[in-house]
Amino acid sequence: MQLLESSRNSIDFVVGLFVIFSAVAVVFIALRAANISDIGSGNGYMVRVQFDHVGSLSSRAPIKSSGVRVGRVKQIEYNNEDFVAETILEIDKQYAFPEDSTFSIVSSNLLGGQYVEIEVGSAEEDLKKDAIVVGNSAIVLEHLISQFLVDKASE
Amino acid sequence: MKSSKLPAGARPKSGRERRDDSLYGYISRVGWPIVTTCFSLGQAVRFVLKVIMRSGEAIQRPGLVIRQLRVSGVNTLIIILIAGIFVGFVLGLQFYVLLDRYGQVELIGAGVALTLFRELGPVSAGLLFVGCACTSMTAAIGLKKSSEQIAAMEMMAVDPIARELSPRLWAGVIAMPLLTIYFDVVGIAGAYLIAVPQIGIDEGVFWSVMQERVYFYDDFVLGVLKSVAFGFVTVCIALYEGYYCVPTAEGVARATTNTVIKGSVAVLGVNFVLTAFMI
Repeated sequence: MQLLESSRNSIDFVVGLFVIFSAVAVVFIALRAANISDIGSGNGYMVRVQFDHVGSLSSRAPIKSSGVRVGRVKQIEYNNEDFVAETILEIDKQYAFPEDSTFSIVSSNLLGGQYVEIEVGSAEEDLKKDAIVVGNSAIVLEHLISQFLVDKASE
Repeated sequence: MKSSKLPAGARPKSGRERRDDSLYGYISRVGWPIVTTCFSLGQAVRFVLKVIMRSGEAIQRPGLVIRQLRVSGVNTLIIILIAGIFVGFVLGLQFYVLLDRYGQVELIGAGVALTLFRELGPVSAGLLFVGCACTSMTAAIGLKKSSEQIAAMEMMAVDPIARELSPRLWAGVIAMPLLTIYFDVVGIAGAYLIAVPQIGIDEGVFWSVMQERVYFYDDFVLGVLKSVAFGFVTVCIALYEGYYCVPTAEGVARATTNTVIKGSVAVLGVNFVLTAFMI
């Protein structure tokens, strides 16, 4: 308590508490409210997957296998040589998948966003870093409806 | 009849003092607000640069900044915490009503966190900071000016800008993001109290959905960076109003009111500009 005797020290003490608690608050937000593991990349390996149609997939969308998140979509771009959408997927480095695994874009629910689902294959070799894979496209509702109408008309 | 050159540091006299009905009078009444606005804007920029340039003493003597941090940061904390928890309650209730219409009630935590981190946290904390800390800065500086303490410091060869203004500026720039972080955390705690015990959303779902949809850098850190800008702009306004106030009781009162008006508008305006850049 001798520390608190002079007013100068008590000011330092209160301001110190103020700063410490705000640091605790940042840690709380980082661990509890936001996903700190998203900071900085480089903790995974990249795989390029080509899709005919990516639907409403967005970058940072999750990549899941058996429903568990194993990575995130890093980038979506258009490949002007093959005329397809090319996504760069960042898969956490502790997960390895057989090289004949299939990538498909699926919806998490009727309203929610889309994610990439990995169905594990049976090859001996693992998927290599920077491999280029062709994935199953997103289902576009309009295409389904037009397909349905064409089928109906041809009956 | 017209003053061709103003003495340094003086504001131009009000154009309304003389009523000139000639054509010259009409034109000058239109031009007057523009001239004074340009004048005070230039004066403010020069003033802010001066305050920044003379912050060497504040860096050498951190005690000065810490003392101001106590005034502008710790003293604002109580109102930030109280306001934050109520905002959190209200956000929890409103998101419940909204999301219930779409059958997505479990998104409540993510919705509250995103709203708080990206917009409401920095802006509400900024407005409260203007009302609580900035007004006290204006009043303190203005009172020191009207009681001629600033002139006395100059007499004693103590630079009032380095001694009184710069520490306040840096204290504000440090305090504002910290207050925003407090506001964010307390707001989330408020939303949790509404969502989990009151509405009955599962605790695990509340946190995991929030973790899944909220990004630490894109949502939280950018919001905190916005609040750094708010702190800088509002404290600059507060110090300018206080330093150039009319040194009377009425003048200090008007300067304090101006701080609230200009500071609040500045928070909202700067928020729009920064948000447009960050999206």
